[in-house]
Amino acid sequence: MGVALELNAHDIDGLAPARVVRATSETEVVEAIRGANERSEAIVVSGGATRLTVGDPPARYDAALNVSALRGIVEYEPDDLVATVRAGTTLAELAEALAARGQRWPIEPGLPERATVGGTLASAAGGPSRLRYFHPRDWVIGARVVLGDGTSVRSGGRVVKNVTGYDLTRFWSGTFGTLAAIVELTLKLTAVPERTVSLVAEVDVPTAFRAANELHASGLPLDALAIVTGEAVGAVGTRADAALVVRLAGPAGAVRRLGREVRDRVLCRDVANDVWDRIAALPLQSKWTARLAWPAASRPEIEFAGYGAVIYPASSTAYLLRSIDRTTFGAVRASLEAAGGVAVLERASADYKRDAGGAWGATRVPLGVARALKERFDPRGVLAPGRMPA
Amino acid sequence: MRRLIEICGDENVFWRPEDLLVWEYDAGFDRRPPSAVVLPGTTEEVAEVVRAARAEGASIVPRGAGTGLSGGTIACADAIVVSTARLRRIISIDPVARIAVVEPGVPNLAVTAAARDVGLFFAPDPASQRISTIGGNVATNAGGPHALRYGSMTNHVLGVELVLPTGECVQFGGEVADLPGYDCVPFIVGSEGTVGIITKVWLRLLPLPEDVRTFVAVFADIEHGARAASAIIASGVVPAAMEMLDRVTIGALNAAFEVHLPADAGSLLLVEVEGLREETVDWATGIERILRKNGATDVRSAETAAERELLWKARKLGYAALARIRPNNYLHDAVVPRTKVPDVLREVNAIAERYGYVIANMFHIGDGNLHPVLLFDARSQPIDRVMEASAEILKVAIDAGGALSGEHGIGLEKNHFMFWVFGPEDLDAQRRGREAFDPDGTMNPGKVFPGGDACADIPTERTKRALAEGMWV
Repeated sequence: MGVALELNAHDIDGLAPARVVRATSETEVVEAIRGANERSEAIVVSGGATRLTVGDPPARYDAALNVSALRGIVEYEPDDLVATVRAGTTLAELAEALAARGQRWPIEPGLPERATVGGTLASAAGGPSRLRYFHPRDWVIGARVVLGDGTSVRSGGRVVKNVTGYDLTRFWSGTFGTLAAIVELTLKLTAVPERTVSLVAEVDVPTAFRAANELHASGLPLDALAIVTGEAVGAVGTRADAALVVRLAGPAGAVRRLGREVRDRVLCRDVANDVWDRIAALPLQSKWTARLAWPAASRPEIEFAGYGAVIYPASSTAYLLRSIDRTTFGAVRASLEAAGGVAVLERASADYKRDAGGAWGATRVPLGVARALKERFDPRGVLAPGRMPA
Repeated sequence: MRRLIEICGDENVFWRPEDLLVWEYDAGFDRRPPSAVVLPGTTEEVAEVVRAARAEGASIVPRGAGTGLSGGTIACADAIVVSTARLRRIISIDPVARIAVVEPGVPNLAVTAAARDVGLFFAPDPASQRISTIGGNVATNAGGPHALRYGSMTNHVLGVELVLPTGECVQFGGEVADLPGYDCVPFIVGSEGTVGIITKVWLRLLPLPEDVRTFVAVFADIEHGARAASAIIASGVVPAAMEMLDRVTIGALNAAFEVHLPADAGSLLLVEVEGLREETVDWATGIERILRKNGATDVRSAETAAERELLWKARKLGYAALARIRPNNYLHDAVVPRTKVPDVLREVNAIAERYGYVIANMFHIGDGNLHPVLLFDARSQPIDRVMEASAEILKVAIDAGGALSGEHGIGLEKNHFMFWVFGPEDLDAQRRGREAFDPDGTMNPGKVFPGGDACADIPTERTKRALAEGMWV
């Protein structure tokens, strides 16, 4: 099972590691990181490598530390709605284990056959589930990690509510393996809804936004809401300018009612639920991807008609999928940042990232604190140095 | 002192011993006066106060409404208390973004009320919500009954503005998700005032549910109620809230308020489901079936909003009602895996019986967050012994795979017990995070971590340390 990584799967923006270490246990992760400290090497931790290129290319790249063989369920207590899993467990493998008891981890990072649980947290993965289930870290309650100096550390626990000391577990989210390598996570679970249906409206771009805003403003509990534009609409099986895709989930009676509410507002047809796998995968498969996010009141003035993008309007986020010239991107980034938003290059060549002023754009956290965190958790700078602002 | 008065004005600085009396305690047991109290009126004043304290080498303890139960706001090491009482503006409520931006001194319930005006609500609802502040809620990662479905503060704080111990004012997170850089928001939530002073908070609001159904299930004893609660969670239907009240609590509530709870019940489960009408009907039917199957002798619905409010009022005034039985109470809020609740409760009650205390259990059973309340009279019963019984209760919870606190925090009440849960490397990693913000340890010294002696002059400190060390082996 699973999808084999390609030969150069660990290359980052044209950089290839001198070697690839495949850890099969926490001890091997500790050994690899200690070894890197002794030899002053730089290592990049990876799982399914679906988000390996997010961030600036590492300043040095001696070894890839792949944890996708560190997989499997450690403990699953269905009656507690809690499971502890190794970091390299793929989302597909996890879903299969939980489905037997009618449960799931409701996070949708895309490419579930490859994406790992650890990588999903480490990369703060976005996706359709952000609308109803918010951030991946909201569904993680405990962790085991190996810090940059090779120390094994446990945080959180197996209980769903916890303020026993500092919450390192959720703090690891979005640190992209630059402070610690995640080796095990304890997850909060939820029941698979009785019924799930998806609807698609084939419309023009302004209609898609108008209908999306109206649906969001209704306060109805939608399960997911996306707009797909330009050449990306092929993934939804349509040739319209734009596709507004809505997912509804819950007890059968509620889903019927929600379906009526949606159809009252926009003309749409049923579509198979696996459309969401294709939508979530688009930003991970494109040669060039930029994630834009903005304050709800200031959506950027981008002409989406004829341009490939996946937009999560209720989360004020869009993934641009077709490379635009560097000057135009610079202007988009500048206008977003001026309004308090961001434009992050998730997939682009090293040259493009450099010319654009870096993958991240303006840093939005105080650098003094960021540096202090990096120095304390990874004192010799062995974990993907330069990938994150610090 | 002169500098503090220059910054905040004479009327906002207290230093005379008689003025400091009301600032020497929280809702727990420990007391210690600060060296001064200052009430800044703006973020800039907070920053200046912090810089002034730093120049003098003074430590700082941030304080909201003082409703904390774990001594988090007690000033150790002659610290200055910085109160957020004057920082109480609701800066904005954005119905489209579903975000509230508020200052730290705003009471929790005020956010809920402001959100309701635009069809939204703020989920965290600690029993102290009429008084406790958002800043304090952030600092303790507060929860409340509805944390069961919606999560605690950490799931609802999108951003924090913080004055660092250097006096620098910085922002983490905010309206836009996943900003470039390390997102320290989850680290700051629950950090109990040890990394800086919170001056602004971005909060997530949710659409008001279309329908709410509240019902009370009656059981012959605690055991049956606890098993029914576990069965509901195991079914995968997570109610918005699920609370247990035991016989002692029911009696106290009936005596104190006109709540008319079934007097002969051994335990009650208060269950609430929220959502679309079609959802609440479906869930309520399923839950009622499980309740009856697990021995509920009666299941009664709140028929009107007024009835529902009365039930919640009873729940939230429960602690006040318990004072009718004994003037003092002591409670921990350990959390255990939900499947362990029935067994742990049995052991907890056995401990209380062995020590001879009346115990009341009124707690968030749906997420395994215990609140065993030991009732006593401090005039005749020594606190040390109550603490000993409570420590035994904590030990039972930890042995069942639980945690020391679900929503009250560690403070100086439970810091020495942290060794029960974490190894030295785990604690060291937490300390590294803290030191990235506060390398000199001037923010709220003596809290959270075990072993320090900043609070050594607190009378109960020696007892707690001895209990923590004695029961460790």
